[in-house]
Amino acid sequence: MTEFFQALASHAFLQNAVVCSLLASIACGVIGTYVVVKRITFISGGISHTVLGGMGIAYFLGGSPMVGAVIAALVAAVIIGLVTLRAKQHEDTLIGALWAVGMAIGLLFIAKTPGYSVNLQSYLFGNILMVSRREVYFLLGLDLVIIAVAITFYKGFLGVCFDEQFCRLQGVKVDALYLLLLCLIALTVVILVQVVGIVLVIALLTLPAAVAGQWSGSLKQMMRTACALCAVVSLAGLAVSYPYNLPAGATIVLFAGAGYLVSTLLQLLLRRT
Amino acid sequence: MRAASQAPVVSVEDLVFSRGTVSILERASLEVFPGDFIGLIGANGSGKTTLLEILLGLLQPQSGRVTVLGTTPQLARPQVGYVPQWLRFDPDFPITVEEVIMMGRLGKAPKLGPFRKEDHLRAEEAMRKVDVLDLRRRPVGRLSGGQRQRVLIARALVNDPELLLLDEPTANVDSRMETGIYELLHSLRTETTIILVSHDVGFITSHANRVACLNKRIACHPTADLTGEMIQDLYSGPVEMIKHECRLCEEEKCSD
Repeated sequence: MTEFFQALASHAFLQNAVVCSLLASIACGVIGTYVVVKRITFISGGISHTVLGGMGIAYFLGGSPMVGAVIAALVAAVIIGLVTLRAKQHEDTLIGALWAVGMAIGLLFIAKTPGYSVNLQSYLFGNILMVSRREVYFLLGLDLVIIAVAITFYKGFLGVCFDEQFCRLQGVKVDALYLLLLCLIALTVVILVQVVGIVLVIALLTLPAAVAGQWSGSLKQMMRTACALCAVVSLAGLAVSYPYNLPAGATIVLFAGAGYLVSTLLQLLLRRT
Repeated sequence: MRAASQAPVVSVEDLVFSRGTVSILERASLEVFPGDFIGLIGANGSGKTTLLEILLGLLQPQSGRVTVLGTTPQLARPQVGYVPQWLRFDPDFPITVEEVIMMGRLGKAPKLGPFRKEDHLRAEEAMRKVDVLDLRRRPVGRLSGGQRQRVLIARALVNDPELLLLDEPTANVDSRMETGIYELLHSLRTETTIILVSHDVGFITSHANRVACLNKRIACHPTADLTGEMIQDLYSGPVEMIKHECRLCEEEKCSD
């Protein structure tokens, strides 16, 4: 652990990783809370896996994979959202299709990109230690957008998550808010891909929020707790993975999983007594 | 006798509604006047919730005419309070009593940013009315069934509605809490027109001034005219009628 803190003081890449973890924690805590209470984990999984398609196309065209990821995630969010709202019965199939097709497109474009082949593992499982200062600023921008929208529409999002039918009766634009929420999830997914990669995004998006939900009485409290928990598991994962040369994303997710297990067992114990 | 000039709060005429090939409502008609407390009874699947959803403008009938407060159900919504069944909600959702009630102000509050002071004051007034003010910071998941139902009633009352629609508000509520909710609804009778869907014929006969029996069509009777045979026909099975203490008799409004 000491080794990690010594390296942190001297290595810019580790400082970037820590800042990236903290930025991801904010988006993860706020948006992960909505994902958990609205029970749209599968939708979020669909969005996250289409990201590879966008990254692959951007990489093939010589553009920024991050920009490709943002575009793919937003397109997937809008498609899934529209199908959920207009043809709920096809939602499951469509998410499954986007999930697999997005990955397939990404793999094909990456395979056909001339020159050095990209390290696919860093997209799939993340490589937070490779995040550049420029990418940190990009993530900061995304974070600011997510927080500003989440604060501005807080009461509408809360209403849509708790009682969609009642909100419709109140004249709330439920469909528009739902699509906006999915777009925020899409942006959060792009941030989290930098930390834990496409495959593990869902764990980081839902586990800290699920733990927070077990101990919170209001949505705001759940968001604050989820942000804090996400920061703790991300930093703990980094600090432990660095000296032992373990994959940071996987270590972070294991910390989140362990936290969820302990919290659930504690809840069960408390309910019995 | 009702004054001929009194405009109905709800007017339903020859309503037809079906889901696929299943007919739910067949030329159903009903008029509800200001100050009415209508008990809507009928067997499961008889179309009670469907009728409420048509009155709320959530469903469109295939034919027939519906007006609510002299206009279409959609336009009348700001003046209509609605209390759904609690069973629809996730009991673990992290939301406080006050947050649920504030939801009733979503249509009046600014679209962006937080609620205004006026919205909070209205919510406080509604909480006081249904006696949940001391629970305002408590998560709704930790309330009893009766308390939750009071919270939903407060949410429906937060805009002082001219019409209150309740869908089985005492389903899954223990009998002690049930009495409390009935007392609350009875006290609201003077403030608003009420249409209550319930299987509790005992409560309806002692608190509502008219009973609408729904079985694809609607037959509306003054409460005192309701007989065991009528209820037996409605539910298509043997029923035992127990006469409760009648609140209408106490107020000398009952012709029984």
